[in-house]
This record gives sequence, structure tokens and C-alpha cells, in this order.
Amino acid sequence: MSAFDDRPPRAGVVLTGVFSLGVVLTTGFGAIVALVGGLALVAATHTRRRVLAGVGAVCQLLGLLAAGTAGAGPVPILAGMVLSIAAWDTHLYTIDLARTLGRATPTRRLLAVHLSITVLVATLLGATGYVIYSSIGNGYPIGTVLSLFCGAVVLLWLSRG
Amino acid sequence: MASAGVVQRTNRWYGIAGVSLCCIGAGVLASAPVLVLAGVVAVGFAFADRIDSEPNHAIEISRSLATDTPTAGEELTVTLQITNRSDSICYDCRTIDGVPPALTVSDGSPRLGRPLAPGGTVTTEYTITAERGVHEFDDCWVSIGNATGTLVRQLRVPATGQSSVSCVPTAPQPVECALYGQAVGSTGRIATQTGGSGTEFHAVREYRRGDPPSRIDWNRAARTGELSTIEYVRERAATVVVVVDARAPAYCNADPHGQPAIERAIDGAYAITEGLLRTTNRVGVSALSPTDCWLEPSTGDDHRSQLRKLFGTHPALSPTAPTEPYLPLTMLKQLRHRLPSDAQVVLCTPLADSYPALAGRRLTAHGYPTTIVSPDPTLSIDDGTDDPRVAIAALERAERVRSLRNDGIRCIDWRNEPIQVSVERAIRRWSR
Repeated sequence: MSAFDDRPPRAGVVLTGVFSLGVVLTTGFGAIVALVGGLALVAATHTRRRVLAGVGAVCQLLGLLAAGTAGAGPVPILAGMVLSIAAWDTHLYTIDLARTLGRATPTRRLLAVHLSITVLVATLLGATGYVIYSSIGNGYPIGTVLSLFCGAVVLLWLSRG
Repeated sequence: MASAGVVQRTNRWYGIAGVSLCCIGAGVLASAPVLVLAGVVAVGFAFADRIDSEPNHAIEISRSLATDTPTAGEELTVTLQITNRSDSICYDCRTIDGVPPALTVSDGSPRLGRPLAPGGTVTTEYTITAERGVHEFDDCWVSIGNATGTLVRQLRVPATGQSSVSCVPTAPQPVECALYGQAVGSTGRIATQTGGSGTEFHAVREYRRGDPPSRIDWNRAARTGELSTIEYVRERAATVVVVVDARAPAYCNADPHGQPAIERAIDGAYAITEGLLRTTNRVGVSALSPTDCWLEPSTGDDHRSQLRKLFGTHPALSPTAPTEPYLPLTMLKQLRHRLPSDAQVVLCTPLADSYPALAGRRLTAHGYPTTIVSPDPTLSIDDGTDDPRVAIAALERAERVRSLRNDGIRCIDWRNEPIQVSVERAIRRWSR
């Protein structure tokens, strides 16, 4: 009898690497830290180690923060955030697929649909943020105040939950 | 169709609000508005985690088999059809078919993961290798997720269509197992201690009126002038009950992925039964099992087909270990009461614990000569496995075999070889 092969699907590991590489390319000044984070995340996806994945995600975040404080533009930072969220989501989803379906079962469609939704949502959020950011730059203080107020309400609601 | 099931939160975006606060805080402290902007994306995911709806799709599954009565060893294709009966897209639908535990998947996978459109159907196929016995498929495990993967509903869905496989073994090569010289009246092949008609010389006795002329020793009559009659070894048929040890310990195996020892015991029992029937003996079958199993000793083609069915599909000889408790002394007493007074017993057991040896001794003590046929379940230690538990089990079993033989009970130690070889070796040892 062949035992259940619960290794993560290759496509998931590769996609985690692709998204992590995207983070490295967008972080500029923090690329080294982001690279370490990306490698850790890929290794964590391959070996199914949660702690390593957490270290990888934190490194990617630090890379983004370093790039942002060093004066990177809004588009690379937004793209970096979208890609790091996609990398983290790919990691979690791949581990979940490995646990339930294993490597022998075709899972590319599931991966494609799930990651499409994640990337789409992240892109829409990034685009919305960019529009607000641009409106601040064009000097519309009412919109800025309104956005900050809405953001505060949302954060408060989330922290209560 | 899908029922309620259990909804679980995957905590996929657990901590994303913290990431967002980190970005916003760092942005404020470093006067970097782009970081505040990055925090917006993270806040959005934290928000999505809270607002996405529970997956509530109706999933229907149907299963079909190439045949539900395959022969042992036959490759059998299982087709599984999964349909989304709800009006919304199921973004993440995963299913695992409930393959019977004793069957192995030889090709493909009983697992499937696909997004399913409303009314959409997906079909998957996999192949299993049929094994002796009746195998029931379990319900399918189904997991459906929402769009963002934050909530998952897990449930069991009974598949429509075929849900069991019944596999009757093909008749084995008959094995002629030497029996004790206890026999009944009808003519057979068991040599008895008494003289009569037969082929092998037994003794010469004084002529009695009515003896057939063909058995008179005419040479002696010519020499001495007195009539004497030659007696041959009387050959008679025996009544044999083949008993299979089908208690939970008999399902052991040193190799966790290999067949349980009981499968070899059943194969051996079937081969010996065929051999006994061939030599006109009356053969019955029983099992040491929590489930009652008894077939009266008999002969003939009808009986042979009953035996085939019993070895293939009787619940007492199920491919999976019984979970009900076995009452050792009560069951043995019940067996003793059923045995015909002139019966002898062939007990097929891996001798995984001390009970079968005790059963053999008790049956012998009650006048039922017992032969133990024991497939060795510890053989993988010869293949390089150095599991100390297996080594200890092998030593204990060897001690049981030795002790039985010392007590005068015939014991055939069936190693990793055809049963005929083990039986012939045992017969040579007994004839010394």
C-alpha cells in the first residue's frame, strides 16, 4: 500500500517563491531583509514549519518598513505589501492543501482560484488606498479626514472582535 | 447531499490587524505616508476576514464501480462524481472518498480538490485492488471553503450509487494435510489402526466364514492346508472442522502496510479444506470470533460452493479486525458443543497470543485431536527489520510452537513459503 504523500504541492512552493521574489524586487533598500524573509518563507512552505514561516513574514515586513522609511514611492510599497500578503496566503493555503489532499492530487485549479481572489482583493485595496493617497497629495483635506475617521472606526471594530 | 457539518474559522488572517498597526505606527513615527498607505491593504484583509459569509453549498456525490463482485486481486475502477447543487460558486471544494480500510488504492487518488460552479459536476477516477471479503465504502469527507478561505465547513456526505464490494476468492490449490488416524465409517484415505479392505498389508488372521475368496492367502493354504485371510489397513474418511482464529490479535502483521496474518490463515484454511474435500472427508468450518460462524461438516459440490462463499464473505472473517469483545472460554465451549464426537480440528492461527495454544490443548483434551496451522506474522524481521517488538513477538511465538509440539499437538509452522512446503515438512517430521 502506498502511504499518503502529505508533502506540499510543488506549484504552491514555487508560487510562494515567485511572490517573495516580487517583494524583494519592490523593497529596494530593504531587499536583503526581504530576501532572507522570502527564503525562510519558501523553506517553511517546503518543510511545513510554522515558526520559520513567521520569521519569514516578519522579515518581509521589516524589508517593507525599511524601504518605506528610506523614501520608496507609494507604488513599490503597495505592490510589495500586496505581494507579501499573497506570499503568506500561498504558504498557508499550500500547507492546508498538503494536509488534506497531498501532493498526488491535482490542486492547481484550487490554488489558481484562491490566489486570484487574494491578489484581486489586495490589488483593489491597494488601488483604493492609492486613490486616497493621491487625493491627499492633491490637497483635499475633507477626504483625508473622512478616510482617517473611517480607518479608525474599522481598526476599533477589528480590535474589539 | 451536504448536511450541516462543522464550520471552522481557519484564522488565515490572524494577526493581520497587528501588521497593519505596525505599518501605520512606523509610518507615523518615520513621517513616511507610504507606510500608512501599506497599512490600508492589511486593514482590508482584516476586514474581509470578518465579513466573508459561511460556505453553505449543497454537495451531492455519486459513486460507481466497474463491478461490485470482482475476483481477488482484480483492479477495480471507482468513479466519483461530485456536483454542486447550490446557486453559488463553491470556490474550494475538497472531497476524500471513504475507501474501505482493507483495500489499497493502486492508481489515482480518492482525493479531489476543485472549485465548482453552480450546478457544476466534476468526475474523478481511481483504481483499487480487490481483496477477499465484503468491503463497505464509508461516507465521503467533504470540506467547502468560502472565497477568502477564512471559513471552512467540514461534513460527511453519503455517496449515492454503489457502496460495497464483495470479493469471493478463487479456489486455491488443494493442500493435503495429514490427519490423525481417527476416522468414521465411510471409505476414505485416512489409514486406521484396524484391518479390513484396502491396499496396504495389515495382518493375516484365521479364515472366517464369509470372507471374500480374493482375500484368502492361497499360497499359505497350499503350503499348510489351512485357510487364512489377509487383512489390509482400513482406510476411512474423517470428519474435520477447520477453525480460523479471527479474533483481533490475529489481524497482526510485522509490516504495517502488509496484509494481516489472518489473510494467510484464511488462505491456508481454504487450501486445506479443498484438499480434505478432495479425499472424501467431511469438512466443516468455524471461527474463533465474536461473530458466530459455523458450517456443519459435509461433502459434495454444494458444500464446496458454500465453503467458498463463507471464506469470501462471512462477517466473522471480515478483512478488518472485530471491535466486539471476544469471550474466550464461552466461545470455546460453544465450539466444543458443536463439534461432532468423531471430529478432529485443524486450527489456523498466527499464534499471536497464548489463547489459540490454550484452545488447541483444551480441544485435544476433550477428545478432538487438533492440528495447528500457523502462518508466521513475524517474518519481516528476516528482511532486515530490527523492531525489538517484532523480535520479542517472534520469540514468544516460537516458544508457543515448541510448547505445543512438546505437548504432542501437531503444529505446522508456516513460514514465508507455499503452505504445501510447510505441510510436507511437517509430515516428514511426524513420520520419523
